[in-house]
Amino acid sequence: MTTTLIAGPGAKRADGLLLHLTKLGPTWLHEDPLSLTVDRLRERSVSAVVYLPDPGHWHGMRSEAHAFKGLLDACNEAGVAKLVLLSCHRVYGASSQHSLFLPETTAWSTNDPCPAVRDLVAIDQAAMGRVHNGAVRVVVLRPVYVLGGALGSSLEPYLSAKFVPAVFGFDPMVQLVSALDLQRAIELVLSHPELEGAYNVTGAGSVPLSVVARERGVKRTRLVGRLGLMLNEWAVRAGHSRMPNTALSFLTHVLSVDGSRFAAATGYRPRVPLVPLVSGTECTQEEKGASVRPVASAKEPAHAPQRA
Amino acid sequence: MYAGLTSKIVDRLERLATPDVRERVALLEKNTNEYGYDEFGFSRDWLRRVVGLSSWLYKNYFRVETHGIENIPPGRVILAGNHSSQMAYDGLLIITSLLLECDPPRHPTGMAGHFFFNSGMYSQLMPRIGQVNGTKENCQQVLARDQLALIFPEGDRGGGKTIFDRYKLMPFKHGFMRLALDSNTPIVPFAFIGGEEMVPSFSRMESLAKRAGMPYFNLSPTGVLPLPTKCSIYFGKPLAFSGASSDAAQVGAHVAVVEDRVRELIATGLARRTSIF
Repeated sequence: MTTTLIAGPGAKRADGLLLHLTKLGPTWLHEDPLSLTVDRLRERSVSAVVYLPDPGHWHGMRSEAHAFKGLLDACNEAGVAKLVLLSCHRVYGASSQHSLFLPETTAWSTNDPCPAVRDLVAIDQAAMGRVHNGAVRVVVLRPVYVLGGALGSSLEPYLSAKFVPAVFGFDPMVQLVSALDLQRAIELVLSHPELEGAYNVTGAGSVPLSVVARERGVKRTRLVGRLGLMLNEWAVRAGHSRMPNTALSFLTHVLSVDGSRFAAATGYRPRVPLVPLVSGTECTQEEKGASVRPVASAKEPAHAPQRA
Repeated sequence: MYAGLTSKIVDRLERLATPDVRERVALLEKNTNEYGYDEFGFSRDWLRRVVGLSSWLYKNYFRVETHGIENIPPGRVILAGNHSSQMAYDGLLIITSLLLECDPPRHPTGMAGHFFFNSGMYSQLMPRIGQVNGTKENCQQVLARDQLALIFPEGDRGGGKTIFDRYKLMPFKHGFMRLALDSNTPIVPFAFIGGEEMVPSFSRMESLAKRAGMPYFNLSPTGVLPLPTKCSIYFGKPLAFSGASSDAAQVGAHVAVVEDRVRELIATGLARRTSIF
């Protein structure tokens, strides 16, 4: 029996994902990639690894690049067939010079002012360095903003903060994908063994950021000038805002990607329509039940029997 | 306070939109989603409000006359012409003319300068009325959807001309021709008359503007407000080109043809004009 390992600091919030992936076989949740040795991967017969970086990591993200590289090496040595990195479209950065519908070949935003984005770029780069260059097949998924769960490039932490900033005069279009659709995308990657490389994952559509906030009943504070920036910085330090000033370019410039390559490679089609996605009513009762953890959590001892 | 002010402005603009404008905006072929936005960020509501104001300016303030609009063929087209007016009033009036004068109404997607998307308000307004960042990829997307692309091949050098250089055509950039060749798209040349005197600028103040991330500032006695010049738009016959977009010499020769045609249209327009106002 082979196992799918869900690793990374974002794994603890991926409960729904676990339920979906169990259809493909047992899963093993493990948050800390540093403690994953080759022997442990072999012991569990891990055939695929899904790495989830810290979701909503606009602020205070720890550097994961080193741990991720170690996991990549371990996977290669342990003969793991596939590694899926849930990156996000923020690796391209937000700029007024960008075109719409960026392809996967767009350069990384390596000099992004936001440390969290630079960190994600480092992880993405490390993964892409192994594409066609090792035993393990590496797939990097770069989803657009995720709604409906704290998964990948989730907008939920931004929207749920006490202080939700907006930059006066700017209201970029944001592409949205449901966490449920993203789970299906990961499932599709795992069920296509030959798949390799980077893929943008898009959802039902795009709307202005103000529309998402309005539909979710979130009151945003419009930042004006230096005083606005100072106010936001204070809110970040006090833990009320999740958008540091270094990340504000994502609230001013459009960042849209082209997801057609992934759709062509896997037959992926988003299932959650735009209105329920934006208004936050996309989860059916059945899907809400997916939040029950079906497998061993990382807090349990490594030798704990699997419940999947 | 901000929300109250915004809704007052919106109300006023909604009142300016005549039934004809409302009907014409509703008739536009745009794939908008359930929230009323297309994938470029276009919104019929925003366009209706903006055209509500611009159509009043078009008819009463600038008294725009349009000639040869029937030359614009259906399907994808590149509209290429002279740029003026400092604040892209010419672009707005061309959009208005196509909406009011074409049957059925048409709406061009303008290829705007990067700097518009760096400044608040413009950054929000431009996509909502169907204007996108003027990159090659964005223009390809517009043409792939069989839409009209509005391009000012002079770029900001044309839009920010001083009054001393009025109606002198700056050298056209070649990107629009490469796109036309690659996508087999006809080019409709046009001339906009009246824009050069609208916001008469005496200097581009480039060194100062660069510090603010802008290509130019206009030094004008009217600031950014336009004078009520009499405007006219002349659309020429569509031009079809063929050849390889990688052949720089051929592309240059094709661009020269378009430049000459725009120059002729400007000369015609200036000869017919009886007064600036």
